[in-house]
Amino acid sequence: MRVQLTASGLGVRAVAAPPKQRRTFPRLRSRALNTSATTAIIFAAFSSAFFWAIGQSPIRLFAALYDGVLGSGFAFSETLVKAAPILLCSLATALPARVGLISVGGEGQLAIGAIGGTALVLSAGDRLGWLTLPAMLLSAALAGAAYGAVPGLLRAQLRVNETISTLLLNYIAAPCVDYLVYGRWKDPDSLGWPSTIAFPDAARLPTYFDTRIHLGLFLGLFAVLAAWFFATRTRSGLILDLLRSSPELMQRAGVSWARRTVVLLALGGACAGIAGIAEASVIEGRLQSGVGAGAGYSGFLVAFLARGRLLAILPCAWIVASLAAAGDNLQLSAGLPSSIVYVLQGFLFAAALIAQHRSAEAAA
Amino acid sequence: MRVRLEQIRKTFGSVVANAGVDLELRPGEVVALLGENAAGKSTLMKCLYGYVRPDSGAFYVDDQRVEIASPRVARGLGIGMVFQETSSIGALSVRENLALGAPRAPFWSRTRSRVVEQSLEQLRTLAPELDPRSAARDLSSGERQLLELAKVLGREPRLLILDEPTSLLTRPEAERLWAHVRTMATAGHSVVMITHKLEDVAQAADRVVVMRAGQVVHESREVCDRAALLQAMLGESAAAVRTESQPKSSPRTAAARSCARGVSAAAGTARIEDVCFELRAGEVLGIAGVTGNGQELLARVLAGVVRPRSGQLRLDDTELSLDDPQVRSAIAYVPDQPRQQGCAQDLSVLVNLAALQVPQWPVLSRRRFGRDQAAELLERFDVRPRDLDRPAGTLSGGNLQKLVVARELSRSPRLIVVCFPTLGLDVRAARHILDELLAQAHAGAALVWISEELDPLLEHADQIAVMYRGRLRGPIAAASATRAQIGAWMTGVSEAALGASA
Repeated sequence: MRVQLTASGLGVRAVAAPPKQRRTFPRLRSRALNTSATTAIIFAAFSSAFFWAIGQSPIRLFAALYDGVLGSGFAFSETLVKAAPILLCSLATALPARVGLISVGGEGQLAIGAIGGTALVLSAGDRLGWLTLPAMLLSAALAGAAYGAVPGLLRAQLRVNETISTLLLNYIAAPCVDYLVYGRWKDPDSLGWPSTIAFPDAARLPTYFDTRIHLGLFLGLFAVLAAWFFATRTRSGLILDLLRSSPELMQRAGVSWARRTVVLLALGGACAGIAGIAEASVIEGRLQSGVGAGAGYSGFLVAFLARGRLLAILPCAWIVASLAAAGDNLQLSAGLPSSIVYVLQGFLFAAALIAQHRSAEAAA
Repeated sequence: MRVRLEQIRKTFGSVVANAGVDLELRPGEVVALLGENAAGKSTLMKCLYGYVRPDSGAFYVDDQRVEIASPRVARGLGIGMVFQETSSIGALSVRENLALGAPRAPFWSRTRSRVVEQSLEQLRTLAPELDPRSAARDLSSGERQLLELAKVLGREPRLLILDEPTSLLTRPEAERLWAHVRTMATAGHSVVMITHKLEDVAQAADRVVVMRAGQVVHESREVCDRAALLQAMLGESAAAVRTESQPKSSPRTAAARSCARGVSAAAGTARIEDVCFELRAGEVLGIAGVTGNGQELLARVLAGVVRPRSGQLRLDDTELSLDDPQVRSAIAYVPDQPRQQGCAQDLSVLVNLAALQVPQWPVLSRRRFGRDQAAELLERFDVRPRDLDRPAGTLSGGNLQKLVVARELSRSPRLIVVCFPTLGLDVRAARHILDELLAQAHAGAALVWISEELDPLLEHADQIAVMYRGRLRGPIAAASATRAQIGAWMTGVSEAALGASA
């Protein structure tokens, strides 16, 4: 298996594994497990060195990780709350990766999805009754899908590199949110705070178990499992594998690469859009600047760590959410700035790159 | 410098590139090494340059036996070689590129700058208009080739080997090169020119050596006798050797099964123009030609993968287009690079065999579907190992080729387009693939067969055509085709010129 940040997809296996050989010394059976362990060790080394360099004890990081994740029932549930948008946004990357596309557009699609859902809530108010919630989710999904389809169409029709276009579209989406919350959607009673009015109760996603765990987490779980089933158990999933591996062969079978490119990017966008409205509806209760707090990029990191194995998204999302939770904890306990989360995510990304590279070398 | 090659033998796997070649190169003489593609010319010279190690044989320089273990050793002996592929760096200037080619020397030594000056001097005579300050990426392909030559000339080789030196040159550039080669010979150096252009031979060579299938088959000082050279290059008999081994059983209908009218297309740097032919059911159209004259693009257009820019392509009574499922399932296509274009390397052999049918599978049955049929195909085409679950990319080149052919022929096609179908196969497997292809033709398919080897084409094809610079010459009935004419088409010699010198 080889690290792929290339056109063949996010670590989707593009190079055939060599035939199995009998080893004289038993090693870790699964290469995936081996890579994960290496990633963890390198990540621990990097972040320890960083903490030592800024004059903090590395122990503090691991204590914060433990406290933030397993320290209490509340901490555990909060990690899952953080995992919900990450789970959904990882699909914004993982779905297009099925045909070898690298999309970084989760962040922008999340923001546009939040706008789409909010637009419905603000215009419909209470009039829709119980229909408000499904209509809001649908509206958010459609907005995200439309925003995801744009790079899809650009790629399919004009051969614009989807990595660049999705990345740049992120920088358009965020100011769009700002434009609305500072401008025409601004709550007049918010005393200058840039946000919309609070969502009515009918537009709040239900929460469960007396925690902030909300419907979005279950939608995310369902979406990942559905994607997994679709990709590994159905004919269409096999066609996507074939398209990724040999588009010309599939062209001869009458399969359109262009259409699937657009559809997958749009589906990914729909997932990210739902993540966006879920964040606005439950966590913040209103649309405000910086919605999602980087969940889109965290989702990319998760898809990268999972390397094309859709089920692996579940543990990976939990791990990345744990880092976010630990970051919050460190802000409080060690007085570190909130950007510590991004630093840790960066280390994790670098560690995964190195571990996957090592694994590829070992395979070669 | 007198160089003697004795019984040089080199094999790549089961392919014999050089089968014990003897050759003598004398000072003051220009030798043209002539032959078809894959005749072993380049391999022989790469052995002499130390770029390839021969399996057996010996080299003598001035009657002293020498071991040429690497190009560095060869350069030390005064041997220089200019390869077909250029290695200049686009972002650097001509002068800087020349400096890169100069030998290593400590910074206080003047060797490097002397070599660079010498190279520049040579380049000035070869390409007078070339500014040494211009970046290499702005040069034409011919100028870039001359830059390579200048790099080598700067070291003042006593034996210069040129691999297809004029293939990219314009006429005036080629003339300057020939003059330069003559001057070198007059000064007492030896030159070897690998070429398949008869013009190079006539213009610059003193002696011509013709190679075919890894052996020297002809050697003479008659450098202008085109007819004799062509004959030597392409085979013993200039007459058509056509054996009607199997009677055509299928009834030939008058209507064309597949036809092309004025088809033009372009993709990347390749282009084809105004291709016309008509092929009835059961007929075989053989397309010969030197690689890189548009054959691959023609195959892709005929298979429907690339849409033609203009012209008309028909299959039976419908237009040939992949949008039509009837047409889709009626075309078999074996691309020239099956590994890259013809299979999904990371997916299993089973999926590869079924790839074109997958869209018709039931939605949820991807595990067990089509297994028996696939296993049968592996057996019939002798794909080894017989393992349906192994990733296709792990198969060897020959078995991968068999896999692709097996998939394509499994659907009883009406039109078959194959590019070099027996490339990389051993004799038995090649024979088997050929038999399968011809059996399909007998069953009523039209077969377009692109190949570099003339003999099988002449033996099996009904019509023969040659691709040369994107245009199809012919087709003519294979029964009336002569090697001389095909050879002339392949090398771009006009028939008039051939007639004049013959």
